[in-house]
Amino acid sequence: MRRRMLVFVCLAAVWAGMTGCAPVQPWQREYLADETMQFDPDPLKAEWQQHVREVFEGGRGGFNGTGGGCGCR
Amino acid sequence: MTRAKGGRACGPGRRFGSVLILALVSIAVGPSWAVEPAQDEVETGYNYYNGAGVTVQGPAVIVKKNVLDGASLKAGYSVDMVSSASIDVVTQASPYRETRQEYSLGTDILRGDTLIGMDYIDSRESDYTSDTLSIGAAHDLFDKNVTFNMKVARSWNLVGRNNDPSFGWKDFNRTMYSTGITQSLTPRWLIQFNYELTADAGLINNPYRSAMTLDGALVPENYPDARTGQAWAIRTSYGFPSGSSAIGPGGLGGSVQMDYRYYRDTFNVVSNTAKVTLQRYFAPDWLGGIFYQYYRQGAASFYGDRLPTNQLYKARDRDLSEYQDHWIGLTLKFKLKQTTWGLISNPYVQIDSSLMIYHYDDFTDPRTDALYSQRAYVGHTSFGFNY
Repeated sequence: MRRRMLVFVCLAAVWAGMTGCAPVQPWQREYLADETMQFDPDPLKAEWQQHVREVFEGGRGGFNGTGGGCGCR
Repeated sequence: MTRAKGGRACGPGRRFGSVLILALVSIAVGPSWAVEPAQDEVETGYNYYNGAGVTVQGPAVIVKKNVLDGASLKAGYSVDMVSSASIDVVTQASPYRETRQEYSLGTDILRGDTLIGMDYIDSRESDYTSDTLSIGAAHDLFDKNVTFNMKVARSWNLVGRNNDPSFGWKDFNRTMYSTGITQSLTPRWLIQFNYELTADAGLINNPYRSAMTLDGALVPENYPDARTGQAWAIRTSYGFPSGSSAIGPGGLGGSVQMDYRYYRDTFNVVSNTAKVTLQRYFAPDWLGGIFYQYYRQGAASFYGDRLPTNQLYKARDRDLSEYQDHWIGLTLKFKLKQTTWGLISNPYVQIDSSLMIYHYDDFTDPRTDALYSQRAYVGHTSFGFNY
């Protein structure tokens, strides 16, 4: 438990440092708006890939994306 | 629904239930929101999967429409047509065909730097029904350099067995909580952290599949009636400048994205996932991409290729076994930005093709006693536009 708390505190400190930098100004967002910068910009594609992934994996969650349905077995 | 062998019960390899829930709730809790107004948009697609005796295919469509200032509605419909003769099916039952239909409705409301969303999903098939409700919010902070989001979803499901009225309908419910934070590090670099907790209760195992005892006899699987999983993920996206001739619409040449996820649950399944995606504009209208994903997981504590008869919990689901897989794919997208044809604007066409290769460390083919492996082709084609 103590180890987990230490990891959490370290991550929070790193995060706070990154946030404090806040370097991106509104007029600098053109690149960030490009679809290649986005995580899973195509809903149907992300849905299908996530569905296939979850059909065959014991793990789940954590990644973005949308769903789908049906079994692939 | 059809049965290949005189209406025998559907194969034990069926995973419609658990898979459906995973997928539906994933829809509901996906943390990839952007705090921005929705566009009037239509996306249509066709999905295809073929491998290891299983074919799944069907159309899907999503429509989004702004209805008021800052408020939008979305509706979706999809069909999965399944034909299965997987290893579980051919060794324990008979091939089958199945169709599942899904309807979804949702709304997003944008107020200032906060986006609130609600979604409802309904899915029906002959031996499985599911209703999922989710609500979530995303909020921009620090001049939009940080986006924080969280969602809660609940899924109510009923699991049946085809051609077995005595089985009745069993409850299987899932609650999911997710939270995430996305940070703009530089004008060309994003990083995202996600955490997701999933709690299952009810009939978790497949009602058709059997486990195998040490002497080769088939006995019903038996899982604990609760499962809690946690996932931690980190994703990053880095854009690279354009080359001399091929640039994207915004002046970016492309990007490289890297994802990593660690997962563990109360079944003692532990997994690691790593993925890298490379995208590049070949021309302002043409975008190409390639990805590779590696996945490795350990077995559930009660999984066994062969199990002692007196073991209380028994599983022979290869998803709960120790294995690894590789997934590699290509994408090609043609998008005409700032183009209008009548009521249609910004049309695009996209084609995705990928190959999955699985190697199981403790799952054998009962017909040969050899360790099992499989390959699958996964395809997706979509066409979409604004209106």
